[in-house]
Amino acid sequence: MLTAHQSPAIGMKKFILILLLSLGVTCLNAGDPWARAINPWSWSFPRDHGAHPEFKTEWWYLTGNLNDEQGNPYGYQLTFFRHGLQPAVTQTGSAWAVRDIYFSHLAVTDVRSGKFLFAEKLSRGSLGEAEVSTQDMQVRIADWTLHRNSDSTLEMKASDPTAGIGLDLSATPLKPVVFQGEKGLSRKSATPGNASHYYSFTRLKTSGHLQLGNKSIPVQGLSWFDHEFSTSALAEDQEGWDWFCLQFDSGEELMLYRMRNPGNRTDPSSSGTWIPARGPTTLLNSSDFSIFTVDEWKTSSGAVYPSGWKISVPSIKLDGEVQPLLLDQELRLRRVANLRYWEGACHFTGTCQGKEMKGRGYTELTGYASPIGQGMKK
Amino acid sequence: MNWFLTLRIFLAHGGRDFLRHKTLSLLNLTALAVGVAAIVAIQTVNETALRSFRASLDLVAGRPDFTVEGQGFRLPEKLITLLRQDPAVREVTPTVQLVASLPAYRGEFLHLIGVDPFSNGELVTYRLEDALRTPTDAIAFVSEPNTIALTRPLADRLHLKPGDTIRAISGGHEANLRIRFLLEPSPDLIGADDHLAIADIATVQSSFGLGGQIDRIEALLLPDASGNITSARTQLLSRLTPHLPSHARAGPPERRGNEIEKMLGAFQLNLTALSLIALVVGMFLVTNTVAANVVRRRAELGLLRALGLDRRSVIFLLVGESLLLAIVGSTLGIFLGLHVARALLQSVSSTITSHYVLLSMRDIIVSPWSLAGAGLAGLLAAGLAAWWPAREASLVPPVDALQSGNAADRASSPRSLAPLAAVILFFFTLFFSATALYGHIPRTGFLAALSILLAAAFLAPTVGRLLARFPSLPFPSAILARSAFVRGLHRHGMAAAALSVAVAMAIGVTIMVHSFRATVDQWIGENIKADLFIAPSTNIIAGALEPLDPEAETLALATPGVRAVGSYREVRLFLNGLPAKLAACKLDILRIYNPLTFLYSLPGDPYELCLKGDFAIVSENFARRRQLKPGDTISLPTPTGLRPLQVAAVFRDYTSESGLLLLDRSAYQRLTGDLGLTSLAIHLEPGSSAQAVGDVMREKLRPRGEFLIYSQAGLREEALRIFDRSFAVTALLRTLAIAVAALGVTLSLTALGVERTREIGILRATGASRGQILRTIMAESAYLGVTGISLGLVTGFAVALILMQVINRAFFGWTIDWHTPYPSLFLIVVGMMFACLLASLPPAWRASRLPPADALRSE
Repeated sequence: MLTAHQSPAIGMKKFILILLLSLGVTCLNAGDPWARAINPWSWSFPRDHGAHPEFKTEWWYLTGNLNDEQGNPYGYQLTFFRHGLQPAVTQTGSAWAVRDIYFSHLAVTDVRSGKFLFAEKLSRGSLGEAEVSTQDMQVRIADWTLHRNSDSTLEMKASDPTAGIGLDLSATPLKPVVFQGEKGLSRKSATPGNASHYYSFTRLKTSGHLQLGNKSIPVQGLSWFDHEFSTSALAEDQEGWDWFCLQFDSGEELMLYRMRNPGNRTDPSSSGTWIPARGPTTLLNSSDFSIFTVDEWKTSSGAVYPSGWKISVPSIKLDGEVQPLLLDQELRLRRVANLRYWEGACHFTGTCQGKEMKGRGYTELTGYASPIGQGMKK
Repeated sequence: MNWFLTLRIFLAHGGRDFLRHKTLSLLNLTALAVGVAAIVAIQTVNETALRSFRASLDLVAGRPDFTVEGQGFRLPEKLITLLRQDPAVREVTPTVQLVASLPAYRGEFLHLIGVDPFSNGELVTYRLEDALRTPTDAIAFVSEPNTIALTRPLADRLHLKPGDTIRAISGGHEANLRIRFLLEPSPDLIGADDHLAIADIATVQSSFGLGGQIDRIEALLLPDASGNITSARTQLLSRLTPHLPSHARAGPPERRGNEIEKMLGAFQLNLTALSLIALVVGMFLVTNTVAANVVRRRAELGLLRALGLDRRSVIFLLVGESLLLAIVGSTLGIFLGLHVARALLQSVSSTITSHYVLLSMRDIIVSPWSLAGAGLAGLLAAGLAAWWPAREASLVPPVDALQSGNAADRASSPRSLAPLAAVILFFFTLFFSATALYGHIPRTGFLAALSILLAAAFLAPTVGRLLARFPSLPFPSAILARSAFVRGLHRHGMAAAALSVAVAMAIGVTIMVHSFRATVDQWIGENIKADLFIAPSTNIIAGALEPLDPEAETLALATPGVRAVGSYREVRLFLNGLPAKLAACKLDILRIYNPLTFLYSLPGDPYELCLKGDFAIVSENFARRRQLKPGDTISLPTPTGLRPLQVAAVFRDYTSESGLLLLDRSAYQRLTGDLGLTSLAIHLEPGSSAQAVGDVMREKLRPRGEFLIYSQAGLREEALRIFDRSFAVTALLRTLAIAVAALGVTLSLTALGVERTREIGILRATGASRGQILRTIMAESAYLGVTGISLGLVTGFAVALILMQVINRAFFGWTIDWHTPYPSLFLIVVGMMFACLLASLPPAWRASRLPPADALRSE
């Protein structure tokens, strides 16, 4: 699964890629030490905001669309990943023995100046370099942090002087927790266990500062939060996914993901959730919606991403187009080898129930430029 | 004058001359080639050593902006958190390293480095091969105990492949290491030690009981506000220093490399200086040949001048010819030198490892720059050597040159100035000796040696003339030879000079090495009293880096026939910017069984002082290089802080080039927390057999790895073996210089033979037999030999004095007792004399075969 520009010899950076590729390298056989997402989780908060070390992979994902005081739009992404290497450390007598590895991605989109900047952290967690709580949302890698306050506000802080970006934001949920899929069991392929436990805060009122170069920019806007944990998610032949979260000005949100099978076919397990301004959410199956790519964007390395989509959800009479705020919002991560994916701020224009509808959101495109998706396979 | 025309004349004339005097030209070529070869060999070996050292350092450490390193002792790993929190630090990664022996592979070891692949991504320079095949391997690297990566060359040599397991032992810890990866250094790291092995830091710590400890921290920094890394580093250092243990050394990464390179520098300078002498000798020869050339072709040059060739073109012509020869000679020399370098590599590699730093070189690394440098040195030497006689030739008016006559009689040189130059050079010798010893510019010691050699060279014609004052033996050949020698001094002077330089160097080095060896041998005899010595086997190949299994001491004490066990611990560190060894032993045992030879001490018993308080005993070279005397205080950086130690006594020691700071074991352990051992010295009950106890110990220790067990005689042998190996290169260079000088004798006589064709013709025509001609020329060679050798012998003693009392003192600070190696000196003198006679045979033979008619035709 190497792309052409990777040499067959393996550097330490690539070594990390191997680690990630092996995220899902376990089987459903007896004696598998990791827990699997087979049945819906019995949720209990705030404990479930914390880590679930019995699962191999876990992430806390924040994206958001913000504006500065002049109304200039910005996007941000801050993600923390935990990945279990072994259920218990086998090496004794060393503080460096690894159970979990931790990594984190930070990205800021400055739409007005057309800049997209990103940074990453990777840690084996030794000597307190990374910490996650199993009691509440307290996640830290070095000085990048995500904490849930007693008043339910999520406080996040991360900065990378080399990349020239940083953020210091508070995000307060405006709606209760939304469980994705079936009571939070989000299936990624037909095989039982190829699923994750997944919930979101779909609308968080966000304010704070973005750091761009030497400037600290006061911003406010809306964020989206996902927390997902699983042991294996993708099937062997799945290539990646396209994921959308949209927040409409009228108060609704929509989440859609399309798991891509070979030949760009949509896996029937793909699904989504419609979150009305008030009241219960609606689970959308793959037959309930359609996503058509209307344009493409080619990276300098030659990879081709879809860029611009027509989205249609007939059951709620929603039609419209999603357009990226910036073509190039590809994270080209070096520490995690040639890990490349597109995670970017977008806007939506269309109609719902015949009414004009506008919104902003985030799109995630994986498996186009590097085999990230493989890491999630069984 | 048209340069193109000059070039044509040059090629025509030079070529013709070359063909006419093939032997002469070939000798010349060979002399230059040997000179250049000596330089190439030494430069290449030095370069290989440095590159290997740097590559190994890079492979382990990458190229960070900042490093923290423990001096002598490891660092606590919690220092990492301190750096992680610092705003100037962008990346920080630890390494822990050790040397482990491989009992299944005799003589092999691993230099095992524990790394953190998560934080060293931007720093590493190696690649792990074959990792893509099975992703589980990658997880195993960080999560499975005992997983390692080996270098491909080592794996090939030991016939190991991924999946195999090797047993490794270090400091009483044993691990079965599983090879999962092969390590491929990137191309710019060629030459790195192939004993390097990489494992996850957790693996190394847990397998070898090193939890909580690391050896080095490397960091990448963020530039400060003005974009400057250097000032960011300075600021970081000032923030960090109060929190660092006193034995930690922090700063730019070049520092450690520089210090070790400086250490190697003294050793390498030595070799370089010696190799240059071979070239200097070669230079004398070229000057000699070109001068002979000029005289021989006097008429030819006169004709060319008369035809309009200007003076500059004459110089161009002669220097150009010499350069052309030098190009061929240098090229040959480069090839020869590379072969010699290959032959020397192992010896130099072992020497550096036993004295300075673990280094294992397998093949030479050829630097085009040093080859070009050596070639250029050859050309420069040839050009410079040719310039003087060429200039002289250009000054002769064409009319004079065209006049026929005995060419040799017309040769002139400013001989009268030579003795004056010798006197001036002698004063230079004194001056440079003083600056080396008292001005703290050790390198000028070499200038002192060079000055005395040159002084001898300038004295050569004078000595020759003095020699000729003595009446010769009453044989016709001897009488003729004496007069021929005096008349030929313009030529012989140079050859004698070259000979005296070579002989002086050979004799100086021989006396120095012999004295040093005798001193060390005597010292061993008087100071090494234990009956048996035990050390990990890697010590012999990897330096004293692998700690001894502490259990060995217990086992030794429990062995019947053992009366006492002295333990020895040694770590290498830097004290006041100079390398040193910190050593510890049980002084209460030492004082009874193996008392030291104190040179100076405080009033009272130095052992008592060290056993009771913060006192230390230092070796003579340690004291000398730091200008310490008993009562002075030194600050020893230890993991528990900077500890002031008072010098109780200075003792004579030859075990460490960098100097030894000796503590009592309990004080050492209290100050450093280091409980490790390097070796054991076992004293036996009267009547027990060292052989028998050694066998018992060997049996007891067998399951615990590979150990060296030496008897007293065995240790002495081993010490002298290391000594001899350290001077192997010196011995070779000495031989090269002698070879060049012997060539010089042949060259000189051949040239004279050509010059004297007419004279020989007359002698033959007036009834001299072939045998008489042969004997005459050989006797002339004997005059030449006696001149050069006697001068060289005397100068050799002066050189030995400079080597021992100036260079050694300035660089190393040993005491070397003078021991004159009469048999060796006799051999050198007789051997050189024999070489001179042998060298005279071909030209003498040729001259004696010359038909008188042909010989007279040149009239």
